[in-house]
Amino acid sequence: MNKSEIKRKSIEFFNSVYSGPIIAICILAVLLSVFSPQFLKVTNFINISNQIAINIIIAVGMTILITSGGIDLSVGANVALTGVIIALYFRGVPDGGSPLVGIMIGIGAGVILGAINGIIVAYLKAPPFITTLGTMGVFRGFALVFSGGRPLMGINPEFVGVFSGFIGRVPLQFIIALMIALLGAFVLDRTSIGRIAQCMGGNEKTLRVSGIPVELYKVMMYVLTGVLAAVGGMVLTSMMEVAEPIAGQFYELDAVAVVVMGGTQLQGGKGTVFGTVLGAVLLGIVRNGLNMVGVPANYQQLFVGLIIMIAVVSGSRRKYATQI
Amino acid sequence: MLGTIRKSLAGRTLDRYRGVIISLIVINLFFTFASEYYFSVYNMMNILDHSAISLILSIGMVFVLASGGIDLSVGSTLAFTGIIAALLFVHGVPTLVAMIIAILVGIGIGLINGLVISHYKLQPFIVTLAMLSIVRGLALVFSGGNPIIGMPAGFLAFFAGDSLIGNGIFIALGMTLAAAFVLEKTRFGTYVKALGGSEEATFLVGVKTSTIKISVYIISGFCAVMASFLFMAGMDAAEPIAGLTTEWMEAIAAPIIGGNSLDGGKAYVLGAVLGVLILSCIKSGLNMMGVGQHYQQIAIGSVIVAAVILDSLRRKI
Amino acid sequence: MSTLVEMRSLKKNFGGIKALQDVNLEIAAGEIHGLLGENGAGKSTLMRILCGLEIPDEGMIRVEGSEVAIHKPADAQALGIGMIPQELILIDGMSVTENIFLGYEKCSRFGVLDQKQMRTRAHELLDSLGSGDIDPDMFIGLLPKADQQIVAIARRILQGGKVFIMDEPTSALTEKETEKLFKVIRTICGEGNAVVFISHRLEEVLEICSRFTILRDGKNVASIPNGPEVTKRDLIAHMIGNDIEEEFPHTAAEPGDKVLEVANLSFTTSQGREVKDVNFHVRAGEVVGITGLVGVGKTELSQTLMGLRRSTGGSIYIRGKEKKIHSPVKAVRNGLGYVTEDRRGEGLVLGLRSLYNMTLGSLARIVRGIVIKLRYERKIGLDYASRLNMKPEYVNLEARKLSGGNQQKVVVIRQMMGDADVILFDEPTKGIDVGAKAEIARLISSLSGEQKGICIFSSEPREILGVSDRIYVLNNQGFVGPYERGDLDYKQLMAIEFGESRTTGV
Repeated sequence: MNKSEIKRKSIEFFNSVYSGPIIAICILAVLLSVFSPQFLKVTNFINISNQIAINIIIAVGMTILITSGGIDLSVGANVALTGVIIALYFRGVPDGGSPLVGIMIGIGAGVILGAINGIIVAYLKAPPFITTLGTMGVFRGFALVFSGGRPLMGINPEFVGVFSGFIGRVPLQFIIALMIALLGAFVLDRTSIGRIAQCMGGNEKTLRVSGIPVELYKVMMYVLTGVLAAVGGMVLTSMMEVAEPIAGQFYELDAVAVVVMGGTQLQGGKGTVFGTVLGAVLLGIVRNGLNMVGVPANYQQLFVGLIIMIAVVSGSRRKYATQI
Repeated sequence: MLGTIRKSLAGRTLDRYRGVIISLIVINLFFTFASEYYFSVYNMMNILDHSAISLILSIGMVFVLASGGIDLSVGSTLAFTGIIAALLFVHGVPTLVAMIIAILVGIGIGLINGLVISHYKLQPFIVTLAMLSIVRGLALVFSGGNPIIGMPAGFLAFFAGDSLIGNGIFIALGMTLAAAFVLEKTRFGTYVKALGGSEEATFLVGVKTSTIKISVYIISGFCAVMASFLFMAGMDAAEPIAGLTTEWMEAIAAPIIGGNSLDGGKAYVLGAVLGVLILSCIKSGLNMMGVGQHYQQIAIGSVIVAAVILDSLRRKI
Repeated sequence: MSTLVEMRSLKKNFGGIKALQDVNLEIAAGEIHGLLGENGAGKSTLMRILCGLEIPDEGMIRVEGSEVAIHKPADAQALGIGMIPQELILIDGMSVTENIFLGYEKCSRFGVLDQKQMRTRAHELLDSLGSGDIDPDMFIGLLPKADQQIVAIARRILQGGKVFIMDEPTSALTEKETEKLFKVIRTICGEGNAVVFISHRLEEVLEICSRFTILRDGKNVASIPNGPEVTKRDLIAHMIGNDIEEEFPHTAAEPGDKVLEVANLSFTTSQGREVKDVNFHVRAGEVVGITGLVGVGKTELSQTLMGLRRSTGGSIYIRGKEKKIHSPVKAVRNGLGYVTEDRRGEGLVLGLRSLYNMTLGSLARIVRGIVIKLRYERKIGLDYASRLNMKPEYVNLEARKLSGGNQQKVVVIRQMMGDADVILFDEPTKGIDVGAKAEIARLISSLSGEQKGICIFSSEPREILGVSDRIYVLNNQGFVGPYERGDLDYKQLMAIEFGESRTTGV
């Protein structure tokens, strides 16, 4: 490549939406490896990939949903509730149940929870963020009620093996997350569903006038998000081998954070799953770094909030820059 | 829609709040029959006392909603400013000084919210959602994750009091009346409602809409601090997880139940009061029936969803 | 009479479109000045400049003798100039008094409102306008449109208005309400203020205005005082000139069976008027033009056909079968296609590339299952683009980056790709330049050549005359027509639009 081509490609790179997260990842990685010898170890990377797996699974669904102009704050509660329901099944059935049925129940739960959100938003025209704020409370409440407020053990070991474990040195849940991300990217970029999602976020009226049943597709987006949150719940329950009704707290914030960091805009219309994955990696490294410095887990929310704020503010500036 | 020509105050009130008042009566009747403990002077006083905190938060929220915005960070602000005040108390700072500092912090959080929202033209819900996280984190950091106990005597006396009903509700009512006055009788109140009604029209007549926007979030932050003082006085401690469970959601649900709109333009203070009462009665009633906390969360969450659906249906009419 | 406002040699371009070329306007105190011209003649641009909503490329404005610079609405307001737009910037949820005093409240210290005084003053103001019957405490949203208008005027008076620009003030008013409004206008002008009156209703304009300035294609055509010798015909003649009509390419096609038939359809316009007894049909390969003045209800009619609006009576037949069209999904399923008037707001997803906008209506065609065949999509996109002389590189650009004409092409391509039997076009050439206008006309003709039934709803008479095989008109007497191609010329069509029957010309 000659000089001018390199220059052109560099400008392209810096203008692209991925430059932010990639640069941030590089800087952080360099800083952390300088300050802490533990960072560059393979075990540490495995650790990080372990941590971000569930976040990625949920965030893929959130990416498509936000692209279509919606949002779902109940995903964290969904994670908990799905786990609880599955645990109840495994405990309730005399022979420990079958993993396949467990999976079907989990997905079914995701569909129902997502559909509840979707129907209220699409057909009753309620604003998504506050509706899902409410359903978050409701789902969380049910998780607490069904479980009696206690963690539930006795998860079917075969089920656990489906979602967690290792392939070689790589965590299985991370591979699942990547596969879901690939699938999500495919749906968003190359299927009619993804295309409709992009239009819905950009200009709903156009879709309507073209004869596409907008409400139906809206519900579909929420169901998709609900199912992926449920999958996240299944992965979490497998990893921990216990279903906790208080699990999944702040998962919704983490999901929104990585989606926004990855370049998908909150107003909708443009979405990138790849960006979300980058965002998740970035958040994972940030968390990893904080852990190494000794910051306790529940303080880390502070940083997630800061990240969302920064990402949203810088996103708005970019929007104004391109509007001529 | 609502009353046309100016009827008597009582007439208009009945018109507008008919549904809410009926609901309130029905709920009370239900719980009276469902539990023997519910309908007693003691419990009614209790309900009023516990309503105070939610009421103060809701009053602040009425300003924000009327302007067309929303503030999700009030619960976190409540916790954080409480921790700050408590830390200062425990380290011997004079009570009044500590309170003022806490108030300044609360106002500061509101100021940041308002500045970011108005300057970058962002959606209020995401900005205040991020702020919720940040401030919650700060509360945890400053408190080490543990409650801080031991409030000064003077503080307790003022904000809690000794009597059955406590001073909280009176403070809350005082703030409520002040809010109603500002919203109905001052130029500022008119501008807040106008902003929510039509930002374009308000801007075109030369009103500084950004100042109004920032002001309502400052008010909301201030109310969060006052609510925090009541909370601490009640608990004799400051907790980093205060306001986490349902208080902040109630602060949004109550005004909406009372007729305020997510779209803005309406500033129904009495509606917010009635909304708070409804939620408090539900909570109390469920408690008296022996229903666990967990069910209460379902109930409150469902009420929020129902309120939002109601609001969106109302807007169609 | 002293001159209040003088606008001299104003020029304004928007991209390639010359909105104003060397336009002059003089407004005298006490005058009701009618500003006339067809759509796109430049009236609204001129007024927007006067109000500070646009900045002219060249030209000078003098107010009461001194030259001024008006760069933003506040500047105009300070000079006493303000517009009362058609949509009336009032706040529904607030009372009459609150709206009148918005931004100019009377307070004591600390900003406490003196509500009693404001209420009294509001009443005085309304009374001085002859509308003392309007209750100052009433919510604006509950008042009839005419009263809302008067409140808007009262507000401007309170703000110190001297020049009132009223844009289509009577389009939503009944005759009685119009009379009421005219009384108010006469009152304020009697006090030395001036009103600029923009309207298509020539009878009213002749009744109320003391002077006319007529624009055509961004240029001054005439500036004449009103008088007994000035007739509607004169005004129309000035407005349309004696130019040779533009050539709209038209290929006659053999009409086939009826694809769309409408019987006794009725609906309500966005201003609340009811339109009844709409009857027409469209055959395959035909272009039917439906025209009328702005605000008469053409868009609403097209929306009703497409299921975007409820009809209040009547029936719709597609290919001979009666269909209940309650939603656009049903409409599309029954073979209807729609090209919106507001192509930016409703017709395009601006952030998406044009290719994706094109294929939006025909996703079924480019997918295998739910997977989109990207290469195939690009191929047919480029194919259609070249058919319409659209540069291939535009296909991959974000729709927001295209010019108005190209954006319209994208929307038309969307229809071409779909398999509708009937395509409704709402104001297809609004706001695009002459070259693109001819292009669209050619497109419409070619679409009809593909045996589709086309129905155009347009306020531009030349376009309707050039493109349609058959014409219907919505006017104040109802839905009239059909007129076969060649039956009418421009002047006759305009006369029908203004509500005069063809035989009794004025």
